[in-house]
Amino acid sequence: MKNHYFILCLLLISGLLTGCWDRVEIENRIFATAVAVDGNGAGEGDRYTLTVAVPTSAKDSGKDTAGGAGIKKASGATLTEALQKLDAQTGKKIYLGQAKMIVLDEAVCKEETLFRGVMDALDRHADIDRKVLVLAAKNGAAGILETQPPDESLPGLFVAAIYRQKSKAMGITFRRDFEKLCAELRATGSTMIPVVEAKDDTIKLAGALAIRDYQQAGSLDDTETRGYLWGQSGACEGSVLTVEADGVNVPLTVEKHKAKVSFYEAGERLRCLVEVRLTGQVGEHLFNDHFLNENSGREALARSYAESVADEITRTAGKMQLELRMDGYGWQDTLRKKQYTLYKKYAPDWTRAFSEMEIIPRVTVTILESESDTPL
Amino acid sequence: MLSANEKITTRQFQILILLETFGTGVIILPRRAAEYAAQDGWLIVAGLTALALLIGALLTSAARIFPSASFITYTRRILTRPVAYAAGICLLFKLLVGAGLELRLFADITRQTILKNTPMPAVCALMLLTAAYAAARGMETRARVGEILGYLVVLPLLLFFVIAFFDIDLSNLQPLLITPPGRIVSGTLRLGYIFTGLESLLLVFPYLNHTREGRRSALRAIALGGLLIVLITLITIAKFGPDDLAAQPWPVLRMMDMLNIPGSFIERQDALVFSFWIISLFMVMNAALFYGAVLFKDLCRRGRHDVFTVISAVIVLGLACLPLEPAFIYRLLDGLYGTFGVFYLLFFPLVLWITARLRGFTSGGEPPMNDPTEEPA
Repeated sequence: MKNHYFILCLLLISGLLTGCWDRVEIENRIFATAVAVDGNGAGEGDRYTLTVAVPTSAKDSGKDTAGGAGIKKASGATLTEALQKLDAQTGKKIYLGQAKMIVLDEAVCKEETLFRGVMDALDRHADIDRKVLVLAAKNGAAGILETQPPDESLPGLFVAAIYRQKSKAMGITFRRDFEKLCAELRATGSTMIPVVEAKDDTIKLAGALAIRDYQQAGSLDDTETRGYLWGQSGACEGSVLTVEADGVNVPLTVEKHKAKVSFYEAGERLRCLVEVRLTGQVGEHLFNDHFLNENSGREALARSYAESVADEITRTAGKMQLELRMDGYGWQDTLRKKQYTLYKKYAPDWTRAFSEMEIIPRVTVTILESESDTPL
Repeated sequence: MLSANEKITTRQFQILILLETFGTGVIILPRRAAEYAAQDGWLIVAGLTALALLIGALLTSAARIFPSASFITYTRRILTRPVAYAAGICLLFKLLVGAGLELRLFADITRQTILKNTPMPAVCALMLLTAAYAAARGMETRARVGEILGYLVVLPLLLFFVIAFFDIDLSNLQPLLITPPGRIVSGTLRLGYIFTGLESLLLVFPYLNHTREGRRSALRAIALGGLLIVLITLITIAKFGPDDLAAQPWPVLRMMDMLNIPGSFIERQDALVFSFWIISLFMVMNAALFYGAVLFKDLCRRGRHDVFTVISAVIVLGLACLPLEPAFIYRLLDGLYGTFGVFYLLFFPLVLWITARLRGFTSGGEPPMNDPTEEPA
């Protein structure tokens, strides 16, 4: 009996311990679904404007939203200060752990101190999910959160859904989560961030922002972004590549995409061979035209696709080498992993080695036969 | 209890070794190994496993000379009474101080990652309350608790690591084998303190059901634990790459948090690894309190086991609550393991074993005829 009292006492004591100090009741918590950081310049005063999108009830939605997403904004000299002001505004604790997307304004990316300040604040924030998507916006990050995309009132969930359905994002954009972004920045100070823009009442993903030495070095447009993605296995599966053959636009839906990057030395110069193998199906040609029934026709078309892809790879690589002057592909790391001897030789002056490197694309396209292509 | 013979089975013994010795290693080793040898860090962990097997063989060789005798008794018979008492006091000091400092580090990390506002003494007290209860109930209770917790935690943890395997980039392990061997050896020796809990092998033999199998089962458990940590280190390096791994304080926790598990509704997946660590530390604490009480009782030659457990718990709690900086605690732990740890893992069992051989004691506790140190019953 004495033992039972002892155990009962222990149980009562344990109820007073640990987690009780850290509790936040559910009604006192706001779940942010997306976060946007806008920059107001690196001078005096409020440098950042922090915007969060939060789901609101029907009762609240009449006040500050027209369909389920509430927008909360606060400015501060630091991101931490802005977040604290946001907390004070709402009277509830804002929880960022459920945020699906962080959007950084181009103005933040252009200033090294602003960009590094944001990255450090987010890295230190214990609630931030390391898998959260990071995107850049060219015309203000808050605008992305204020957009109400079709069929989904919460922009964070809308973008997450696009990435979940790979065919919607492949060949157009790429996934950059917070952990990967931090890892790349820690290793080289450079990275690529996919661009998001609000257009015609919806959200569009296309293009990329190049960050070199913790600040924006330039950007890639849609085609250049695809040129960047051809070098990464699987990144363009599901994308549609269109070439003109005999005055007709012929689209190829890429089903398999393999890419391999290797390096070798020619003289005192590094050469990079980008081998890309694509397999896909032609989506349309001309009805009742037997161009694709003949091997020669299919081979000619495959060559056209290969040339188009090689051209995109060369254009993007040229831009990286000469204009952006940064290795956005992470080829320095690839060289370290695959050819360590060459890495030791070229790594000390990698910026020069990369910009002088000859990049040779070798693209092979295989067109799969469909029922309509069966020889007559 | 189903029985009260205070003896544990071979399987229970192995689970205790796994939980007591390898729990901290799972959390700490991948990063520390990558600091020394980057992508070849797993070689250091493999080296550590080999070292742990050697130490395990040495410790069990010394302990099984008198398998049914307590630490103080067999040390007294081999190395004389004053040496036995001095060794007992030093081992007690090492166990309790080590437990206090480890508990303090655990409380600091818990407060950083999960319980930010909870006072540190509350975290320590909760851990010690449960650990002391298990330790006070005896070896069999510890073993049964370990058995239940082992299966509850290790199996889901293994499942998570299998899932993690599909989300890694094996090219992060390249280039292979470029770290100079000297650096691997140096890293192995410097990280050897990870297996400091192994000295409990000196104290555990009287509680084994089958002492003859003690050595073999201990070595099997060490080999299995080592293999698991090598795999976990490989997966962690492949997930983050050596540079990113070295920059992360708790990479295994982060890796678990980043896993994409279909249909998962758990907000903090890292809590699973954390729970393994909590359970492992719980086993480390209750081992320290249990063996602390055993040594106390043997040294005093009177008193009750549960009273000495409470005394040990109070000492450990006092040490854990000292106002010390984490950096200083790490230095203290390094110092403790570098001196007392190495002494009890290496030198002491070696001296015991050699002296026993020279004096004609053989494995199984057969004393020579006319043993002058043998006390009358």
